[in-house]
Amino acid sequence: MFRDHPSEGVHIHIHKSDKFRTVILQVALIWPGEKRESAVYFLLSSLLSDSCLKYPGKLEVSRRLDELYGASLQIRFRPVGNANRMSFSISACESSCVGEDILPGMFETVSEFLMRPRIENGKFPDSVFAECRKQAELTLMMAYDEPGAKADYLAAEAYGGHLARRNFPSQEELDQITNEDTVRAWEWMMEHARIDINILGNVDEDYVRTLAKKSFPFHERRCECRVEKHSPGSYACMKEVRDIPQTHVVLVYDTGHLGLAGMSPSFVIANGIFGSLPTSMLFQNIREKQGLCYSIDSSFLSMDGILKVTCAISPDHLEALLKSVQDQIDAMKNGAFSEEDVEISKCMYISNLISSYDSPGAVLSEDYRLSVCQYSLPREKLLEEFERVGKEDVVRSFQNVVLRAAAIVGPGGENA
Amino acid sequence: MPENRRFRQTWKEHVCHSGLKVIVIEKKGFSTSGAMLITPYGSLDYIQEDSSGREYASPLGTAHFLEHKLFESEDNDVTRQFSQIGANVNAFTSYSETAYYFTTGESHVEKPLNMLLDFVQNFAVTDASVEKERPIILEEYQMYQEDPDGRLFQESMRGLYHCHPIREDIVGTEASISAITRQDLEAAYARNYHPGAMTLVILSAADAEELIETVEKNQSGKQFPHQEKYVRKNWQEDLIPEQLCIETVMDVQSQKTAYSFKLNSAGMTAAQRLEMEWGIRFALDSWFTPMNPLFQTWLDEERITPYFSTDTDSAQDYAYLQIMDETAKADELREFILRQLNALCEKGISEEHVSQLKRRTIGSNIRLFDYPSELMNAWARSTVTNVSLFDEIDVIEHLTADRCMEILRSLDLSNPACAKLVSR
Repeated sequence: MFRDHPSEGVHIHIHKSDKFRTVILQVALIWPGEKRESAVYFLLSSLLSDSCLKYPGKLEVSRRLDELYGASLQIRFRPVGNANRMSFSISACESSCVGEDILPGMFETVSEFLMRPRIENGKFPDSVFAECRKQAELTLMMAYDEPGAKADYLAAEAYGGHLARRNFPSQEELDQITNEDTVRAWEWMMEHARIDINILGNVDEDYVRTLAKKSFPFHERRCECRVEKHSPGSYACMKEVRDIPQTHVVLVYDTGHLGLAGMSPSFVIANGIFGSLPTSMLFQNIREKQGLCYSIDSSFLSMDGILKVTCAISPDHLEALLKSVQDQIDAMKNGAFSEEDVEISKCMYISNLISSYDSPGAVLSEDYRLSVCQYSLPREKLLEEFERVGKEDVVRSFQNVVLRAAAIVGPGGENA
Repeated sequence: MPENRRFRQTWKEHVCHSGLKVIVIEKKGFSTSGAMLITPYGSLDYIQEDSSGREYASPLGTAHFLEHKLFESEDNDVTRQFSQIGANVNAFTSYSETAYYFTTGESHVEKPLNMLLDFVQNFAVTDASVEKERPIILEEYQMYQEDPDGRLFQESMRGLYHCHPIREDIVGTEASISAITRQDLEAAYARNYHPGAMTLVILSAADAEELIETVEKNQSGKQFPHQEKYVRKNWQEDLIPEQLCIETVMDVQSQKTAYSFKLNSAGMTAAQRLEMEWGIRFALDSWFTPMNPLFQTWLDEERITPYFSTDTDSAQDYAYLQIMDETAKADELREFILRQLNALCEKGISEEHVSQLKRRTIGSNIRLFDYPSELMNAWARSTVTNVSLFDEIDVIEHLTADRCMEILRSLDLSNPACAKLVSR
């Protein structure tokens, strides 16, 4: 990995790899976030994706990306832990596969969208602003028509903190955002955010470094983002009664673990035993043995220190499900699982971690994570940590798991 | 060993004595290995015919139920066995195929390869286990019923087809799932899981010859009865939709409308169908996406939403073209679609647009080769249609604007079926 630091708060990371035919360029801006800002930045990401001064319409954008052999450009806002993150990433195939050098075009495209958005006279064009707001409203409605997504949304609202910030903005929040708010948000982000420019692929390092410096002439900035533990309040539950056949349940647990430090590798393995793998207690006991549902699993959001259980179930089985999930939590705390369960979970996570390095996106994500997150462990270290986990570590890692929020969407939600 | 230089990809093909076709995709430098065992037996094959025309029927959803149950062996939990060696095992059923696969971060795949072959080539389903699985599959069915996009598609197919099984979900119906017996599963298994009907696609950095030897050794230790060839019942459908408008009430906020056109794919080869699909796709993409300067006007005038989309698919016995949007104003959408399709047929598309779309498609295909699981999946599925990934690229590269328009103009686009999803 080649690293450069052209100015304070601006970092270039070049990961040369001849393994992939894909080249990815990502420019990520990160800054300490607050809940009230999230809605503005969600909308800003949509405005920035629509067009820019050089490519002022969908037609021009589409043509530009096709010139780069169907390059995919994504501009995404996503709060991470307690920070806000806006990323501009473009992926295209390696120049040698198509017989022309498309790397300068990739840099130019991201640079135009990031540095020169379509702001004229202090505003985005009114028609573009109106279209993006309407699209956001539609996206919101469509996303939450899916009952599982709505349960997820409600659980995050009930929990608050990082999770709530990650939700799509509500209709009321969208209504309050002005065109000028989004311009101010872009200006603030460009002025203050820490900037990481990551490139992955079969590229010449000197060439890429020159392109990066020329395309992104950022001045120095000071920005300290720390992933900190959210202190949730007391238990909260949100319900929505909906006329659908199944009841969707999301349970959010505080784990006491944050980031990939200290006890967290043990908790990753614990989650494999508890609910994230098809051999887990949730899947085997609740789906396979009791036949209560088709889908049930758990995920560990390590940057938030949260364990989330997700399930869709017949409303008649809701009570049995809630009791059974609690039984599995108790079993984890009491060590009611075998050494073999621990070994299986370790084996799966180690294998998945090794496999993930065959994905260009995963490799780039790790490069980025290592550069910005003070708790991150490199792959080799993480593999060692996984290898070392024993049953006692797993039991200990589960002791502070406490239910903090729940959401139920579907028939029967009113009785839960 | 065959090689495609442009995609820098080599592979090896072999047919075992058992009849099993094996394809090894070389992925030097990758840690991920995997294998997919696929049979051309999907949900649409619930009624099959032998060479004499005799019909063999099973309830709808049998292929999917069988896929669930093959994970059960007499003395072992298959998933746990794979997990013990760090391999992810899974399966899927689609309209025309059922596939079982594993992936792992280990380059030595002899063990999981044998395990995959052994569990798929061993029918060990009991009456009790069928009863145990039934409620789980019924829950899965309910889950799909709640998905607004899935429901819109399903109702569209019901509007288009009179009797073809594409009218029903891949998992079947509540009634058919409730009716499936162990005997149905066993009969379907006997007809469709003979190695002569199946293909094994392996993706690995390991030596291809050694992998083929492993498979050959596995197969040589097994006995397979002589197998007759069974084909999907030939569903006779005219091009007139079954129902011109279906309205479904759901507890949703965002209302949806889809217009679907029934196309004729009868008598076409797989390559011809592929050319038809890509020709239609290019013509529609050229007209109904931001490539067309009018697209922004349509958005500004609220004739369409940003979620306006088109889709097309075809197989030996069905083919459709679908245009959808997030709106309940079905009449306005119909008028817009028919007017624009007429304009498209009249004006045609430019060579410049076709060239732009080719670059997009080729770029995306090149990148597919960086994703081992997706590549294995796409390669395995291409064995069912008998058109390789590279043949598909050839088809795309030979398309011209005139050919795309010739294909589009040959379709009867006057009689769409409407499916609406409206709020309660």
